Amino acid sequence: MTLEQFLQPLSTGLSHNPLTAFGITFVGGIVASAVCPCTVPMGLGVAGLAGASQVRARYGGLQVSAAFFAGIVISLTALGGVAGRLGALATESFGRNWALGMAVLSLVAAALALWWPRMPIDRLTAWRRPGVVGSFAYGVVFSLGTSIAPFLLLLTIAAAEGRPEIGLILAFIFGLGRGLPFLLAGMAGSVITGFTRLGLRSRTIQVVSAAALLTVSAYYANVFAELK
Amino acid sequence: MSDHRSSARATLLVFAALLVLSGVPSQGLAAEASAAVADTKPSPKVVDIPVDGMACVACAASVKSAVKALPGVVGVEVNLEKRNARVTYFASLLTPDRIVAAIDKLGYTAGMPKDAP
Repeated sequence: MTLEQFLQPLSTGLSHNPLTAFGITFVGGIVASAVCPCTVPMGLGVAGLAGASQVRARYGGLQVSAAFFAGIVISLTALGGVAGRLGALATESFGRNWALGMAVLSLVAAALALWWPRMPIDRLTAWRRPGVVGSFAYGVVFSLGTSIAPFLLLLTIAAAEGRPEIGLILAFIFGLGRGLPFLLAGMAGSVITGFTRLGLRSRTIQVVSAAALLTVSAYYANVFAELK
Repeated sequence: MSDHRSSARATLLVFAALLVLSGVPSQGLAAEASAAVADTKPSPKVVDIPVDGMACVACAASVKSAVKALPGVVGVEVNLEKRNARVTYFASLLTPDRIVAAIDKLGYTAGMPKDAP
């Protein structure tokens, strides 16, 4: 069964049984994560990002992964509001630029994972929680290119209803499902770091986290090259 | 003196006329020859293939990469909104079935190829 077939019951069930339709949409978001090849490398990247943040602050990993999750959900909900213009996000030229942007962002995140813990506290305070804000922005950029095909299909179904608010609700619920695996990956990264912090040197965790983010960067650089 | 000049002019005119006349048939032949070459050169075919199961840009990239690697493919454009791939290829080197098989092999479901408008 393809993702398109999974979401198809929404076209008939949306007006008759909205609760079931919302349930299908939420599961659809999780299924989209399962079938999307970006999920595994990006999940590793978020876990690495959370792990590196956890070294610095007790709940740093949780905050960073929650910010990434919020970035996905809020961005997809906002995209649901401008459904008519989303076709531009599905073109190859946008995809090329998006993959390049993700590769650069991941590279920057990898550099920060290594360099950040060495920065003086007063400079970090002056930046006002750059990890959380940066992670939120990372989530927003990621959401623009990932799972765009099932998301567009979802909005097409909602558009057939002729009620824009339904599109917003479905986009929000889909975002919850799409972002959940990354929230869990980030939490797992934080927990593992928390457990190993006493046994391992924090520098080792930072190097592993940076390596995970470098993998994400290389992955998107390869996507960019394939689309050229 | 003036007779010499006028005869020289006449000779030049005749010579020029001969040059032009001798060039025209050869140009015509050259045009015919190049048209014949163009006729034997195969023109690429363009088809739209529906692809189900693509989720994101990475899916589009893997479909594009796999189809581009087939011999005879000139260009591939994957559209996530329309969920299809527009493939330009030489029909003498490749059949649409092979393109469909290459996409199916990746785990996506390719539909019947249709001639692009």
